[in-house]
Amino acid sequence: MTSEDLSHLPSLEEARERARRFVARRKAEGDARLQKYKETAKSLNVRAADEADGDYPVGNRKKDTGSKFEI
Amino acid sequence: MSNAWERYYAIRKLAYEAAEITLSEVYGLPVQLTEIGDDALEAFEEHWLHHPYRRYDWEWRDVVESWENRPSHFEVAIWCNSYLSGLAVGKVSDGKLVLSIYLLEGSPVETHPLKGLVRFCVVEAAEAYATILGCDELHLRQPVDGALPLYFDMGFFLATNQANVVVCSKELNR
Repeated sequence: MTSEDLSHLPSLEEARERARRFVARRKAEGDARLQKYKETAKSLNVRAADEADGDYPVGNRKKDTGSKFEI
Repeated sequence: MSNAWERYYAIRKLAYEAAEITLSEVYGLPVQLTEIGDDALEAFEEHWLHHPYRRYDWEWRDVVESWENRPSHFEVAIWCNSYLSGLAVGKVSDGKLVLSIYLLEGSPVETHPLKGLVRFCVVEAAEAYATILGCDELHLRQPVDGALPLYFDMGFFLATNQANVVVCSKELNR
């Protein structure tokens, strides 16, 4: 860990402010995001959702063959 | 513990708290987000490790041990009603411009409360952490082909990173 790495870090006070702004922005976007989520959930393709969640039915497992970094 | 470890730990905690608020208030998901600590590792070993539907062989105790060497690393355990539903780790680029999720695993237990929703929780926690750190982009490294449409729905697009690795990329609003 170098001092250069730390120089990128916000102060705790600034970090709290960024977290607060993150939450405020999400709440402002809420309706649109929630609608998008509901649409996605409605058309949920179970296999795709399992893959997106890093989860998958047993017959299609890739144990020992997939990339370690595969999501 | 060095100053760097303490500061990144505090920022991860802020990110978890922010994402818990947005997931509960915006998405209506009652989740708890934590570091991948002993509770999560014990739940993993008890309920996931030998589950027949498990897709990957990742040994999360080893994963966490190796990833914790980097103070800025991202990690999250996703909980719902005391059930462990997801685990993920990632890292911030040296320039602090990109947060990349490297490993994501959802619970193999078919009845877990966040079935089909783990990706939302992981991405929300990662976005919160990346936003607080001032990153410009969030990457999902080497995504599975079948999951691409769902990641696109979440605002990601397909790209390659500087190392020419395929990623799903999303620009972050700060």
